[in-house]
Amino acid sequence: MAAKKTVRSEGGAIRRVAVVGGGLAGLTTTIKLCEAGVPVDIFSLVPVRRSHSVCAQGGINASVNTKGEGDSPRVHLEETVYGGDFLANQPPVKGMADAAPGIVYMLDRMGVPFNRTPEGLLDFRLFGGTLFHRTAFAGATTGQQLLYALDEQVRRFETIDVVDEVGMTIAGERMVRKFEMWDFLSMVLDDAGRCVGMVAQDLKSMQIKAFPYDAVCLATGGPGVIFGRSTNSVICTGAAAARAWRQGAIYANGECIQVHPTAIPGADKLRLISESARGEGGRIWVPKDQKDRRAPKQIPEKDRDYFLERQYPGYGNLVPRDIASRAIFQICFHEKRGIYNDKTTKNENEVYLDLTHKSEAFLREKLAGILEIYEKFAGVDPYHNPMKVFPSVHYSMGGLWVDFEKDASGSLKAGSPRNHATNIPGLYAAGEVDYQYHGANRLGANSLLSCIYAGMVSGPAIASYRQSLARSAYDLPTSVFDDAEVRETEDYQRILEQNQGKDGENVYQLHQELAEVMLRDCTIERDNAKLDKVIEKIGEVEERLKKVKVDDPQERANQNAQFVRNFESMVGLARVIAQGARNRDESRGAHYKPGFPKRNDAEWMRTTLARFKGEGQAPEFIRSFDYECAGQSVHVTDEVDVSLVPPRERKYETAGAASATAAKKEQTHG
Amino acid sequence: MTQSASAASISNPLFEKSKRPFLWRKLFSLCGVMPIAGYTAFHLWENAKALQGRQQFIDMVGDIGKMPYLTALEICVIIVPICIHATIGTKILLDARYNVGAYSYSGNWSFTLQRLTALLVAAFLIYHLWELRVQKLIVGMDGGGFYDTLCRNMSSTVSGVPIIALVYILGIGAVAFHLANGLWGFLFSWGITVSRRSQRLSASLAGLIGLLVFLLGANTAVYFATGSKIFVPSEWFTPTKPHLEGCPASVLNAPPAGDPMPSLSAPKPATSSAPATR
Amino acid sequence: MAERMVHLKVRRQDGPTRPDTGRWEEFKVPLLPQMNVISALQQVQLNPVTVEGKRVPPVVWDCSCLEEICGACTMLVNGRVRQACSALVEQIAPNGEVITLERMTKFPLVRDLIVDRERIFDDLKKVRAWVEMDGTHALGPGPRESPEQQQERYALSRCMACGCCLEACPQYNDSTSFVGAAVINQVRYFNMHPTGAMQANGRLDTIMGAGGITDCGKAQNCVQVCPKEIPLLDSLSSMARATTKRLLLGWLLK
Repeated sequence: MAAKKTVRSEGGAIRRVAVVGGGLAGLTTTIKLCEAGVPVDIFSLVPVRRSHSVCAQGGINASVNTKGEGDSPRVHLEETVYGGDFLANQPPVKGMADAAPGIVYMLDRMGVPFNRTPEGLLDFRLFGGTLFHRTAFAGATTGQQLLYALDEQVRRFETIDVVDEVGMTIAGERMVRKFEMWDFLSMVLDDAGRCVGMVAQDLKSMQIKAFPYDAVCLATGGPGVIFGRSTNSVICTGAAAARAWRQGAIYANGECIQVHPTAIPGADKLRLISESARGEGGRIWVPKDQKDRRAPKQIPEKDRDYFLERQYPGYGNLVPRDIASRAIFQICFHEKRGIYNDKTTKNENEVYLDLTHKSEAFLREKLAGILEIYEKFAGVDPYHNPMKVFPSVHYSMGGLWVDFEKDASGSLKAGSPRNHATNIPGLYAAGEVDYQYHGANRLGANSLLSCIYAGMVSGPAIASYRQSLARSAYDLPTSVFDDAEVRETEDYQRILEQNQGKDGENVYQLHQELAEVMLRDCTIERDNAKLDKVIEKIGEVEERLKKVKVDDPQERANQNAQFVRNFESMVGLARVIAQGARNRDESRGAHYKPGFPKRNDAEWMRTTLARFKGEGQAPEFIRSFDYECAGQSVHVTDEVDVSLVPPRERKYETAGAASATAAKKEQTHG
Repeated sequence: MTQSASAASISNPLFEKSKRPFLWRKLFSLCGVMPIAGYTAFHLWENAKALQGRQQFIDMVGDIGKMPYLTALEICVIIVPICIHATIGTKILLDARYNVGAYSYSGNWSFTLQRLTALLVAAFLIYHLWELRVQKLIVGMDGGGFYDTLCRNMSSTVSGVPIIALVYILGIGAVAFHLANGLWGFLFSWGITVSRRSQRLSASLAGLIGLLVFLLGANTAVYFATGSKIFVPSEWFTPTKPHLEGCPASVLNAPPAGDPMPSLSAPKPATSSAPATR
Repeated sequence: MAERMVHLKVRRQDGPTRPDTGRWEEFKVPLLPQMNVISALQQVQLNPVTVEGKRVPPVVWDCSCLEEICGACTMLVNGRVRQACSALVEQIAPNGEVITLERMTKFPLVRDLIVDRERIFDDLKKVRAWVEMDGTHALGPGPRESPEQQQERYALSRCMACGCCLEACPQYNDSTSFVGAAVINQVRYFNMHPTGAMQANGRLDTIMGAGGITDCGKAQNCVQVCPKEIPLLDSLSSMARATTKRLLLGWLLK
């Protein structure tokens, strides 16, 4: 038996754990692992400081209640599961809401420049789906600020030596090693199906290498690029999750894709205008008259339709994102009342997001980061002109299925190796790549929180798992890793060589075609007949993918070949998303089918679980499965744990509807 | 953790080997301002004596020669600082990658000109020292010799162009710019002007000082070349050359500047009466 | 009406050891609404054929967020360093002028427009650009801070390590070890934080070493090219003051 707590394997190697992805979740996991004495290798497509978390703008939720409004983690829990339309397992959400104030304080101690009240305390702003000031923020670039703070702490661990179990420093071995500009290719699985390492490729030299690890944690973010233009970074392909899925990891609630109501239309990407714009008083409107040609400032109040405020007097512009997006979609697509454009002489798919009633000084202090983006990319001054925005694919509530272990209070059991474990022993998932916290719709400013919380939980969970190992991955025969390396190298060669000399397909063209149908028919409104067409299209793309030819014969930085490999994985995930949407015949959160406009708890209050069936085959949707974690056999079903907040109908027409606790308090206050 | 190690190592930061580049750069900067800029201003001011006439100039040179600890002063205040400033400056000059073409901001122009003027000043200084100071060492040139040489060289022309006078004007211009911009940089890099407002103020101030230094030097140079003082425009085109009164005949019949040192062996003037200054 | 075209001229090279492959290639792609340099390069990917009609490997470049906050797509656009994503074609080439794209010159080449900016992160390690915290366990809130100081720190904290200031800095190159404005700005940022200030002297000592603050040549390009308008000059001048103070007083006090 290997000593469970040793830093070295029997063969003398340093027993490391891999974290794939250097966003908020990956970095937090890394920090937690380091604090538990576990050395980490981080793999990232980009230098971690450039990870997609940097794009998050509005803030991070925590019920600190500094405004004396009676906010509490209980209310946060209630509003989160209500906002998610009761598809999230509630114990992890409770864990997250309870931990939130501590997480914000921790970030505060790391030096994040959060905005302050005059007394020098953390300031909080309003966000969607709540009536409480719960969102801590650093200007309108909160994600950037949080990512930097965590990046800095991880950099600190890059300078700290590994210390073994008796306290001896192991010279030359740092707690953290970074492999930046490396792509995750696959897990290395041992005979028992346990994840014992991974294969990755250096995107500069294109060298492929297999590494042994005692555990691997995927923190690789969302799959927005499947939809082509989205608010996501170009690295958010979902390919890593898709590869894990193809190797047997279960993907959950893939159909739950959030469309953010306000983004700037663009040729290459749709740039987000944070919900904080509305939290700080921004109002959405269109002219009442469909043919109104006046400049927005010339349109008097009486001729404006503030349709969110009209339809949802309780929450107004701060209804959850799925509702706001649908309302905008309704106005623009079905009622053709988008802003009239004189040049194109038609009603464009755009509505006004108006902040011009706020002073410029106020806006500069609170929102400069996003208004700058608008100014730079739309070329219009948003301090004095209403912005033109339209919904855009933004976030995936679904992701790799991960487990949790409940404690007596109904929250997560601290340090359990089951927390954030996927069904593949030794593979963990944290952040947007997991499915855990948001149900069918995520509330604004809960993503930064869920990513960091996922890291706070995954780190200790992985450390426990590593301690439970009878045999370190480092003591396995090297052939296990050599074989994996050869397999991936051959696959890469296949991509380089296939269809050379023929008139092959262009992978970027193929991506555009797939993205177009996914975006059109698999986002805000879904229809079974159209989804069938989408699935058909995916099948066609899969066929044509075999004819793809790489245009780039170079050995170094071959982005063309890399994208072909990514795209092969993305198509699989597109199937999971589209098929999941096709199956779920109800409307819940972001998943909306006009043909089935009601939520159907009796049949569909359950997690969609998708398993890879085989190359070119439809994914298998299962109701239950068994897996093994740290010597414990666990039976999992698709039932949603609603033990803390009983499900009820979701309605944002009346104020305080999202939280029973808050509503009660409201009543007693009179 | 390496905390205890770093705590111990920060107790005496000044004496660490790693701090040497920092200290050399501070010394470089200090040399530029205190002795060199100070001396330059003094030097130009004292040479303005020439405006008062040849004899006054000779007296001034004589007075300086009589200063106590002159050699020590020359070594400590002039030679050593210049050597330090020039040596480190050369390294700085070579280390930079100039890019004023792509980034033509005023700051970058100043940066580039600072280094360009450094070269000009160095070249000018070598010429200037060869012209006068080296001659003092070799042939014992004195105040009168300095005056006469300056008059002769600067009033000489090649095809009607007063090359050496122009070299002087350019040299003094380079000195003035390098001094003024260096002064601004000194205030910046010693952390005296931290705010942007103070930096703007110090820029105006340094500009003014530079202009004054230039005018001070250029006035004397023009006087040597033409006998005019630039502040008195009416005398710009005076056909007679009052500043040459009292100079030996060899100066008055100076050959073209192409042959710069024709009168090294010329006899000293027997009489020297002050030239008319007005 | 003829379709409007975007004319790109791209400097390419296959790798650092292949200077023989250094070349310029020109492409023409159709102009799209609100097009930026990245979407122009994406069009090249769709059909990598030069103006001479030669089929070539698609251009490779670095990019991620496309909203000028990650810093990845920094390159020389028309000879000046900036993010390619925020370089809107209509603004930089309103009449269909040629747009030249080159890699940054101060960092080792990877390929075409990609360089390796590892040096920035190594330098951040040298100056210990982090708050030395006891751990991530619950220790209550951080120190209070006035809104004024928060605003001041926030302005400094927006550095995305893109390297614009370093590329434009004549002093930042392979013959000096100068850490550059970005890193010195981080020293100021952490020295301003109440907890970070506990290690202020250590950071100052580092920038009083080789490659530190005295390597600044005051060309001030950094502050001109910074896409986030960080007051880099203020950071340089205040760190100059802090180090001078430490030079003059540090050894007297300790």
